[in-house]
Amino acid sequence: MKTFKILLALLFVAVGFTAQAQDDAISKYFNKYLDDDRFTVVYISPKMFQLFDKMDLNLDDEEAEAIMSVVKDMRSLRILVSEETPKQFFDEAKKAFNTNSYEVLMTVRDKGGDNVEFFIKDDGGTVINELLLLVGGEDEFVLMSFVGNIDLNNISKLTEAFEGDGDDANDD
Amino acid sequence: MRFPLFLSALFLLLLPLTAGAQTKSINQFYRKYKHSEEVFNITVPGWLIKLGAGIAKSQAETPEERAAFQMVKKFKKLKFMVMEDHNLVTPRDYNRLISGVQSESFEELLSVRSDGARINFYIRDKQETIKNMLILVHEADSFIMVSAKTKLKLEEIADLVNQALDGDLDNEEIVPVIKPQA
Repeated sequence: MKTFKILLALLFVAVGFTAQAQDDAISKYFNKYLDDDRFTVVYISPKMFQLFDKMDLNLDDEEAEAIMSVVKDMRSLRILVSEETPKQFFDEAKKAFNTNSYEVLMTVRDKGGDNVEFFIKDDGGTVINELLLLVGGEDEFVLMSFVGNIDLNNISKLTEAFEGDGDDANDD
Repeated sequence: MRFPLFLSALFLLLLPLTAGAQTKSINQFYRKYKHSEEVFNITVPGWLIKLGAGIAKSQAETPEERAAFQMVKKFKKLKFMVMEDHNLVTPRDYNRLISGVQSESFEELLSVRSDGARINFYIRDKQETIKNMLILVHEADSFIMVSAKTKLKLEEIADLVNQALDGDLDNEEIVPVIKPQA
């Protein structure tokens, strides 16, 4: 019985480490190039998003309100940009994130040779835990990672708000 | 036995208070570089900020300006350090400053690194009030440090943002024009 308990405890610890390792895939990749001069690096911390969340902003603008509804649930934003060997970085990143923990949401390839891939990490509901955007072309490699509880309903509201704005502009 | 227990309790009670006032790493860094000839540095005391902001507020024309100067009054102390032609700060000292403030409960808000330039923004807050702010701009040939002691409440910042947004909405006729590329 004692052996069983120890095994059970070990199992929990192992599961914990695996979950941690999955969560840290993006952190590991980001940290790898954090001090690399070939990259432009932007990091907005969870603290910044917490501050946004705590501030009670009265936004009358539909577009701004939709942006805030997405921003409020976000926990961090990481951006990596490089103009050197973009194709190589794109392939490397794709390999790093095309795992069980991420799912490909959308792939776009244009005539100019630019590849855009969206990856998501979710629990199966309408809430995404992470949205990862990879862009690889002739000139530039871009990686953007949004971590948080990104509600697809809010994203659709955001799209609607922008579309509404576009319609208004067309009406003018 | 009671006395040490009482002392320990007192120490534990005082610890958060002292932690709120400490910016040892910033002070050490500031002291190390402020006497160099190529360094411009200034410390603005709270009473001077209050006086300046008070005068500016009385001259302000719009409610947003008044709110902004009211917020400036919440700055208790400001330290500026600027190196314009040579960045004397070694990477070791820079990293030591960053790890030092992090160990003093400063939290990173954002960081940017591009073409050898680094921007770091840290705050230390307590009960929805920003107590300290630190902005660092570290480039190959220049360096800027802005360190502030404040008592800025998040709701006050939100009020200012709301007022600024209201002002923008009042001026809706000002629409940015994007020129088509040739």
